Amino acid sequence: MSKNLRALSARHARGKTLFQALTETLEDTVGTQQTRLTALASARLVSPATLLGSASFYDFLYTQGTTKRAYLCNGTSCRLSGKQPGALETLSQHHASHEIGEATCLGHCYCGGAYWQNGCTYDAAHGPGMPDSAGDGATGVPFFPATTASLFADDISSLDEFYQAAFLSADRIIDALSASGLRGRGGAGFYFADKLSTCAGMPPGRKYVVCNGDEGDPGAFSDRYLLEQTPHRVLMGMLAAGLAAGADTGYLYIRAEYPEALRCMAEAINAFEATTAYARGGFQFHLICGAGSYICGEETALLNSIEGLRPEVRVRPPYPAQEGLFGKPTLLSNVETFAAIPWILQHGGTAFADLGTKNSTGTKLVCLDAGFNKPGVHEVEMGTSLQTVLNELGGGFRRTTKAVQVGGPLGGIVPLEHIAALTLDFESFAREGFLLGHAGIIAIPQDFPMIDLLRHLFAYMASESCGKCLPCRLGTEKGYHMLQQACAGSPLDKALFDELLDTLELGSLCALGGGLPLPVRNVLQYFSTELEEYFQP
Amino acid sequence: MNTDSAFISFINGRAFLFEVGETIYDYVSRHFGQDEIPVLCNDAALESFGNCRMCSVDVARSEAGPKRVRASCHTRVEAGQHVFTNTPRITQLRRSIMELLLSDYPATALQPLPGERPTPFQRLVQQFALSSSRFPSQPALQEKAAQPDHSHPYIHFDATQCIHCYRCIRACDEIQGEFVLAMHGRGCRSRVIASLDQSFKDSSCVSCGRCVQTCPTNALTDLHRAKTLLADQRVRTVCTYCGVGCNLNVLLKDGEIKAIEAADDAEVNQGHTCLKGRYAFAYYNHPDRLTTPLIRRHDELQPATWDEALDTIADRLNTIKTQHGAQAIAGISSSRCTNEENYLMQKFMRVVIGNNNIDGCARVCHAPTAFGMRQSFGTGAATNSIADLEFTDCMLVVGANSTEAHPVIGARMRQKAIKGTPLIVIDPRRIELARYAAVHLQLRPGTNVAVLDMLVYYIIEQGLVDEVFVNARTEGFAEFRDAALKIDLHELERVSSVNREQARDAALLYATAGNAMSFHGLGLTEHYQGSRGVMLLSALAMMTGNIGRAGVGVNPLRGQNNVQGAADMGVQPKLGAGYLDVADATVRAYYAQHYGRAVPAEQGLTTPEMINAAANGTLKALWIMGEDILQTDPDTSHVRSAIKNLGFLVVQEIFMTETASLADVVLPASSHLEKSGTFTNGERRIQRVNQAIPPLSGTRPDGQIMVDIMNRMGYEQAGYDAALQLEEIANVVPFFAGVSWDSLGDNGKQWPVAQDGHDTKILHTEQFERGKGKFVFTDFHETPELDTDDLNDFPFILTTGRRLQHYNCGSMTRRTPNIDLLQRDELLIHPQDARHYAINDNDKVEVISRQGKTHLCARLSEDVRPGVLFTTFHFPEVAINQLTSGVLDQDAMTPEFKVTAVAIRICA
Repeated sequence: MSKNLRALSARHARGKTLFQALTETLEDTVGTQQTRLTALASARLVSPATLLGSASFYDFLYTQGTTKRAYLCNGTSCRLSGKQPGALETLSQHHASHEIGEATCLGHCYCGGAYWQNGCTYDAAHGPGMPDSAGDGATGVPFFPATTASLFADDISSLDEFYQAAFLSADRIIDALSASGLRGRGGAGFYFADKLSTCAGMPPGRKYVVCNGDEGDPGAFSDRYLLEQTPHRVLMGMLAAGLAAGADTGYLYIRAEYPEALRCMAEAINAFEATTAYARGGFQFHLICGAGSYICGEETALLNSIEGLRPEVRVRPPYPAQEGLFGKPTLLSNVETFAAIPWILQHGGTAFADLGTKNSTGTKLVCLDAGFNKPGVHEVEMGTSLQTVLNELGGGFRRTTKAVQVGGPLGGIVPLEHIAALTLDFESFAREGFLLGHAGIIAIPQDFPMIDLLRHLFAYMASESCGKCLPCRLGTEKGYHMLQQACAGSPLDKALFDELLDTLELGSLCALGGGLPLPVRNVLQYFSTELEEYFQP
Repeated sequence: MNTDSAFISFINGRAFLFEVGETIYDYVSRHFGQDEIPVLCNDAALESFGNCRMCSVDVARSEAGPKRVRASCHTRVEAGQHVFTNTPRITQLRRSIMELLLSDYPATALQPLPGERPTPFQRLVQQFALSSSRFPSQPALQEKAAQPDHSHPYIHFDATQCIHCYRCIRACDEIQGEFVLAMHGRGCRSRVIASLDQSFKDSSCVSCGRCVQTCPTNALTDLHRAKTLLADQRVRTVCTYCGVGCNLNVLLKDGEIKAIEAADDAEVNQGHTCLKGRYAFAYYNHPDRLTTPLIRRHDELQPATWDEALDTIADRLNTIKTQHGAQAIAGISSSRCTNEENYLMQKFMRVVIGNNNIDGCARVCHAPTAFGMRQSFGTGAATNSIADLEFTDCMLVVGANSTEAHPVIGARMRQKAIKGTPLIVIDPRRIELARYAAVHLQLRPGTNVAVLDMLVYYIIEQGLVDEVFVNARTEGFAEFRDAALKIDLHELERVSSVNREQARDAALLYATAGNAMSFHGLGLTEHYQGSRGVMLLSALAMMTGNIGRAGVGVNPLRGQNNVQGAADMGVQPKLGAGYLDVADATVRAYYAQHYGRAVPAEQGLTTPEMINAAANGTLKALWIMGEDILQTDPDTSHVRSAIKNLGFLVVQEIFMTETASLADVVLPASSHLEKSGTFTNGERRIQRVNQAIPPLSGTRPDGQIMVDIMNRMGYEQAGYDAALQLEEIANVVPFFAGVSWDSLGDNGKQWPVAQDGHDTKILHTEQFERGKGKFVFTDFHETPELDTDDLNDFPFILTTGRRLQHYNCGSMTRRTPNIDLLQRDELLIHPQDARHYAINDNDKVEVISRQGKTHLCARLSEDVRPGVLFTTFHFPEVAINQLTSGVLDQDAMTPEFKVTAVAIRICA
């Protein structure tokens, strides 16, 4: 929000960012936290209040403190999997209860019962000491490449060769991406070439490319897969698009809940720095580790986070491509988007456009959670029917299921009878009143009460709301409280609850508050009978 | 305005013109008024933030097209767009947001307190006819907020009434630049904190009160409850606490001053001011106010009537004049008083007493500026305006701690510096601005000339001289250049402690910025080579062509509210009203024609000369208008013995001061809140001071006192009336030609004001006042204070300045709650020096100079360099000027307050 703080933070843009310095300061143990914050404030010309304001936003820096030894995953899939109690029991054998925090989510939705311990993540099937454990905690996300053409399956034989394509002329890169019809994979589906052209068209000067690796949606773990298993595709995509945009610095923001991804990317950046591409000079990657906040996945909040400001959502316009990181034009997109770029540059934009539908080209990574018989990351050509994805690729539901939630906690709740009407592309979902989003798919078991799902959604959003805009800050909390009261015997006033949803939808500054009403309304509409008892007659 | 259809959009179906880049909120408000769209987080003084969403409207591409909800405060109008301000869903949305806020809001705070105005939030509550919320309340959410914070003497915070609009945080950031406030936590558990979640008193709050002013609720209030005060009168006036000249609104109720606000439409301060301007007015009816004249009888000051006092004065002055001649009488006027009063004072001395022994407190501050800039440019005043900060590409600040001494300008400089405008600070202390500076030349006190010589050298050496400007507009550059190139860099580095690389960096920044603007304060002037430093600064501007357009120039920051005006009015021995040289017979004839009496030709005395003359017995009588020279002039013991040697001392004052206590007659004057007149701020802006309340019973405005004595001594002068007096001045002072009380309006005018009323924002645009600008080079010379053999006995350099919370000798601010914010003068000492003397924080330290000694509490600080000490002069118990020396600026005779050789000793 603050141009001043942004300008002050930018004074150290190319070194350790204010956010990184803040994280270190809070994790440090020398002296009191107050003296450390005051010293950092003085060194960075900001105020102690600024730093405390930022720090207090994050779960792992402040809310839960920096002293937790383990975190239990509280994501939707873990809750639905029924494996949380087992995971907690495992952790309790090693840690006192005050040492165990909560994290949402660790991206083990394909198994459930996930937890974090000593910088590694595990789940019900792959705990420390389990037979198939990789030892360092990297469990290996199950991946099923597209059978037609897979963007991610090929091995990279030589990094030097692989990175060469990034140095094509900006025009050729923009043309290829334009022809490909590639749309942002983070959820909003914005045409990537448009962002790139806008950024490239801004007056010359410092520009940045930022990769959003803050895959916070419970139920989604495709970015985690890409970051861990094919990190050079991500870097290559950032490099090529970044150079075409006129950027010389790339920031990769990865959530702290993905320690393996962070390690893989750090190694990949090291490997990149040993290539001839790096030796050509002029491009630097910075890896930023998040600190526990869902809203940081929202692009403007993510930029604020890197800057060390409170990750509150910025008003748009200006868009990041015009005025982004440190106030400079910034090309910002999601991991999967960048990871698709190498294939496009190798095979041509048209080859990509030949995949999928007219307006939803290429393939999409779909995450199926532990509610399916074949959970994991499935690469699916856009336009494939949802029926095929769930039943054939996913092998059908593991247990009796009444609905799926597609596209994260703010995605629609699709009752089984609506699955047949959907194909996996942006248009089909929009037309039917749902949202493709990031295409994480969670199966909701028949016996899971929808009122609990609603409470979970409201509680999660209330806890993750940045608090900037009034409708979301208050609406999410009031909604949760009203549902709690309903469960405690005071039925809901339907009209008032509807009004609250309207207020969230129309009034919120970003998609967090604005998006919550979609799954809630889906549930109210399709499961009204189940919820009848919670509403006033 | 463009009436092209490209600039037409629609509000509720009706077509209206919009301006390019305008937000929907501004567009609608401009046509339908401020109340058409409700807002909570929006404040015109702040950037759009878009968090309350109350300003949401429906917009559509066509009248019947699909509507989308947009927050109008940060959405720009597009051509042909249809804006609907009150559709049912918009009304419901706003009402719903209000109810969400109300659900946990204290019910007692929904309506104004009895006898108060509603806050903007309370007005909306009334507008929506809300008394409760349909949403459930959650008392737990307010737990953290339950204890109101009343720790601060002025600012109170009640978090239960906070609606999270962030306006306070944004004001602290975007206007003051202090970042004291922040939001803590996230979501509905977030809350506003000060510093590290401390009380306001313990936080780093500078008490400017801008957060209180913008807060739309009573979460942030001040001691005076200015925001909600039901004032029955608002009087616009000008602050007396520095040369910025903030416009203030004095809020009165039942004839009493209840609060002061910054005027939102003020060109000078744009709705901002500092804690002195906004809060420190309680002195005006303090029980210590002098309310009756005092006459010394039997060596004791005893109450007397005005007639007795004036008769005594007239008698004694006439007697002294008869016995010793007019030259035995002198007057010191006050830069705290109005132009009209200063004019009368000098007129009194010149035509009633009959000498030129008139000087003012500018002598102890900016006389070197007046002299130096007059030598270089022909006019001793700021070349540009405060508003020019917006247009500058580089700021050079020399010897001015503006964030404390000129807080509103300081805040604006900081805003610029933070956002990236290069800033060069030349100051022996790491002042607040230095934190943000591109280059801080932390020189040894007293070596400005050495450092400026280096800057001059590098601009020449690097070929950065603006030859076109120099050739067309100036003279003497060839000699200047030759002299400058001969400097001994090595020696200058040694004496100044500034290395040549840094000096070169600064020179390059200044010379290549495009528009570079310099500001200076008493850190440049109060030195042995003070005037010479000013001339070098002027030379820097000329040699780089930084004169005569927006965003450039040489701009003194005036310490007192009317330093500029007092000098303009002729408060100096050599130059009469309007800077006309009284040594010139035609000038004297001009004055005689206007004054109706001859003006004497003899050279008058400056203040230091008056004190010396008193000490040696040639000066018999001294009249001081509102100045405590015992506390503020150097070498107190010398001043004291000089005053005691006088035959007769008259002091006009609002409080008993050290100086007044030695007077033979003390005249109780009225404060600036009790009189009218004009002040001229540091950018030559003549602004109206309007009487807010009648003079406190028993007091008289200084101007009326002068009129009374003039009449009593046989000169007919009309009763003090600001407008009439200004008319007389406009007839005498050439650059006031077009000034009249009415035409000054709310925002005043910057002189010169032509006959037709046109004023002047920027001086020397076509040519200099003196024709061609003059280059004067000066080599560095060590001050005699340090050029001695006994330096081993006095190994430290003591330099002095001001703190934000107090003003000058503190006689006013110490009598306000400001005293709770800062209770003492402190001695800043570098930790390394402190260690050597085993001094810790708060230890009492004796400071000894050749002139005297005093005691101060130590504060360890790396803001001063080893070997340098810093303190302030706000408290009479410290009386720091017991230490300062008699060294004067060689040209303007201003005392060298900024350099005193001292020794220190920890007290047992």
